Amino acid sequence: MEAKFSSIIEELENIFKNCIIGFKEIGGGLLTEVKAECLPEVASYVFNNLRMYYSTSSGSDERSIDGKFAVYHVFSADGIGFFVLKASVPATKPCIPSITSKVPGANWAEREAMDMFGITFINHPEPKRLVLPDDWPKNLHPLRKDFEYSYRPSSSSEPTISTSIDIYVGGTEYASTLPLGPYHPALHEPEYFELLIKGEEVIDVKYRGFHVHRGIEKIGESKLTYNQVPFIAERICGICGFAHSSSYCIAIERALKIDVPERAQYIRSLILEIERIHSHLLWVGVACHLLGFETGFMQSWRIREHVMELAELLTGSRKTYGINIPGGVRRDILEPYIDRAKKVIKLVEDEFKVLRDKLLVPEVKVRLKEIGYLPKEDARKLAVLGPTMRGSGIARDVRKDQPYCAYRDLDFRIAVYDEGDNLSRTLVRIDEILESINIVKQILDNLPSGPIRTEFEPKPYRIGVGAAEAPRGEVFHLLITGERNRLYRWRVRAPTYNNIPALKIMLRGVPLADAPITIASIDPCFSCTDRCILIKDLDHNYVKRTSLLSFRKFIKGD
Amino acid sequence: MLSILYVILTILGSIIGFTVAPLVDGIERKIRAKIQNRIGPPLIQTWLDIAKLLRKESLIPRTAKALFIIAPAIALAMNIAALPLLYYGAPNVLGFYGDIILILYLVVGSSLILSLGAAASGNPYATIGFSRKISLLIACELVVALSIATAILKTGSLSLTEVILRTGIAPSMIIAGIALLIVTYIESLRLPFELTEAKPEIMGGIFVEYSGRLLAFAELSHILHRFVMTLLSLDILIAPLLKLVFGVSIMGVLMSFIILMLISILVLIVYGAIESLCGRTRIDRALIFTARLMILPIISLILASIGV
Amino acid sequence: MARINPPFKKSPWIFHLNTGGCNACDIEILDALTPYHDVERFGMKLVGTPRHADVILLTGPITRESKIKVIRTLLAVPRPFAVLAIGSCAVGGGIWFDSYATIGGLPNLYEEMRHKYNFEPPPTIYIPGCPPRPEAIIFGAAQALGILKKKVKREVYKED
Ligand code: SF4
Repeated sequence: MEAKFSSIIEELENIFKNCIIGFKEIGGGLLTEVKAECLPEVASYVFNNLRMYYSTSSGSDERSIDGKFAVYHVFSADGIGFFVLKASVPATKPCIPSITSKVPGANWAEREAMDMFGITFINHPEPKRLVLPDDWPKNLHPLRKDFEYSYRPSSSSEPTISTSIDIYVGGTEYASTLPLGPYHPALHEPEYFELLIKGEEVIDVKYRGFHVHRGIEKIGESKLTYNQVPFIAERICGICGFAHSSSYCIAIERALKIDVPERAQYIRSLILEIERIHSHLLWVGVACHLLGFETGFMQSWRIREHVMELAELLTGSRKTYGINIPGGVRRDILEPYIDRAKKVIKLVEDEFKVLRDKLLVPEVKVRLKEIGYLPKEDARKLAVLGPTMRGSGIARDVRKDQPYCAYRDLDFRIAVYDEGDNLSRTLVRIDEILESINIVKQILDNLPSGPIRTEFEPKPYRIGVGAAEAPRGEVFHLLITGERNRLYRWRVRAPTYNNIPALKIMLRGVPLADAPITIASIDPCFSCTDRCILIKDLDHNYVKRTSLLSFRKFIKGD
Repeated sequence: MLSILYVILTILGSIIGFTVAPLVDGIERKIRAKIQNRIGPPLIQTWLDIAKLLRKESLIPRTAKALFIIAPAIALAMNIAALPLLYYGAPNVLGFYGDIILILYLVVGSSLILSLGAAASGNPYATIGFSRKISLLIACELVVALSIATAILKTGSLSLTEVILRTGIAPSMIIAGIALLIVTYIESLRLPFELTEAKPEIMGGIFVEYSGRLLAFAELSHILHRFVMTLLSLDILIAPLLKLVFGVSIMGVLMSFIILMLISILVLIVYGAIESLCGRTRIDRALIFTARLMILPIISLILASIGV
Repeated sequence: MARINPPFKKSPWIFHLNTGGCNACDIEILDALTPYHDVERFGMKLVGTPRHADVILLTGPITRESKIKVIRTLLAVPRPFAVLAIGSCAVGGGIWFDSYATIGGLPNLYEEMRHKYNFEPPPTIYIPGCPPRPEAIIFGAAQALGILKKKVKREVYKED
């Protein structure tokens, strides 16, 4: 690994002689430790001059190892591996310079570290709370090692959200805010968007998410052993859960240098692609629903049902497959199933092609075209991922750039469209469905034989990074192994995490009618179709009437 | 003797209209389900829904004004009042000189008051639904008014029955009828014009704050409104023809009654089928479409004024 | 529990309330609406606002952040209504039952609402599974509507 990075190492050593503390090889990439005060410069050089794509950042409480708090910034050196910048600061004064001004995409990740570890980021443009609820006590940071995972601080006051309509009348300007949520399906969470609208045009958008913060990382670090974590990882998201458990396994396999049998690799790829097909079909259906094409919604879900059957056939369950485990997979695919799987996938392909031709008619295109524009440069700055990125003309795909599982041997194409609007994101997904069907066919044809699992010996304090291309983009896991068969630090980053900030750009100036489809166009893990609810009654603010007679009283001014 | 039959038919027609309109809604849902490869709800589902809603409690937001509560009932009453004024294949003895104007008032008024009531709930979604509805309503009702004006101009009468009896086959009336039929589709808030409810966008729009009994009234008046509008357009488009073919004898009247009822149900079903193949449009596009539609009644008006 | 025979037996309108679940339950609910399972057969209709709802489909372990919003939603539903708690999460918190960020399932929420808001919990059917199959969800819904009977007996384990 270090050999591949040699030119980068050399370059950095020349320029930042006084900043760099050392280089270290980690599972899946290279770790570069720098002095805390140099972090922004180095990060900016890596991002702007070396043109690496920003992935995510993570805090870590390493007081029990060396008495310090650490921050990791991860970049992807495409084709080589992940490039991780680490800086640590003494626990007595956890202050670290922020890189957000240089790498805008790091905004959320730094704020999260702020919440979860109590690390202060100097010069952060928006040092506000991100993940934790508003009523959470100020000096309590859940991911610190001295925090008990099951401790629930009592809430002193009931948190409030402003859901009522505000009307600002200034001159002739007439703008009002319209809440979208909290039961808006995005990420794996009910979310809350507040749209500032003027007439029927969206002017600005505010966002409050993380309704689904369930403390997964903490549970994974404190309760579960290596072999249990894949199951909780799968429940991070019910739609792309397998990408999560795979990338967790990949990270740990890379960290501990486990050789995974080829057959297991192929089985993982197979299930990952099946997951992509069902997820994209789901998205097509939901998009149709949002545009009012109920029939399109029903038909694409009808096709999807075959895919669910296929998943059940191959893994034993329709969702949350539970077959991933560090070192391989738990369930083999039997020979007779392969033939049946081939038949199903053929059926899906034929039916989907018919559906595609029916869907891509001018009336649909006109609703998608030139709406929700995301320019290429902004996409790179905010480090958006997946179809959102490829819809803006950036040809990246973890399957090609950081090959994992069996993707090195498979033949496929990345779908890229340059327009950056809702239509191009839609087209990317439609192309990807067909491409995935293609991959599934290839895998079913050449599934290698052999064992499906290897045992391994855990070793403490190894770092590993794993990424997998989920339907929505790159799922990223960073982990540090610990003692007693448990993780020391586990950082999970779902693709929607990077994609949501881009909505601010995409939603501006969009007609209200197109706001839902624009939000959906990043595919924020759609769960509910009926998505927005407005609960205006703060504290029982309504009257109950059960009979018509009492209406009269009401009218009289009761 | 004959006039008793006329009265009976009109009343029968009104009652059938009242009971059948929700049933037709059920048929539509069934057809939609079939197009989507589903089994779909039972035919009487809409009645079941309404029966259920009548038995649930109604929540009234504190921000709501009195209009919020009375609007659904008024709208329902207006639609029911419009029923016996329509032409059911037999000369409407209950009609009077000027009833065509009253029908116009009732039709426009009922949907207006329903959206006003919704706006009175103070809910932002309802407000947006209201503003969309009003813009659509203005465009649509212009078409309706112009078409009716054609009929009045053509026959010189303000009574619906007389208009029908006097017309015969006239191109201007046919064009006006077609315009009415199209506008009925738009105004009945079906996809792609289902903008005021638009669940994914504004979650039920004008109906968002209604619950229980109030919702039942609102739904029922919405469904009746569809029926009234459809029958009204068919009255202008087909009734004169039926009268020409069958005359006003006992048999003729009965035949035209049956045919008219069947056709109006058929039209509603066809509308339902069209709906399931469409997606939602945007309010600006919908308005442009409706504005283009305005050409039809204008042509018919011109034709009528030169006596064709 | 009294026999459930609600007025909405023939026309249950459902409102879907995700309180922080992982989505798998939610898409299984949607799945139940689509051609293969088609719950519209029973007159079920997905509605967009709790005001129109007769049955609340609740998924997820109820996170701290969403708790207050869930409470408000439940208070905004006109009675009578029923609740289906779908998935292990909603039933008892699932794998997050003791995490700092959740309150651990619907029973805990009821407990709290009973004290704070004097809220009498509506008839509730618990559907375990992670995620439960659409068939299981339909079965649970049928129970809530009084169409089908429970097939298991209720037994409470007590420590001697
Ligand atoms: S019960 Fe399981 S599948 Fe359902 S939301 Fe919870 S974790 Fe996800």
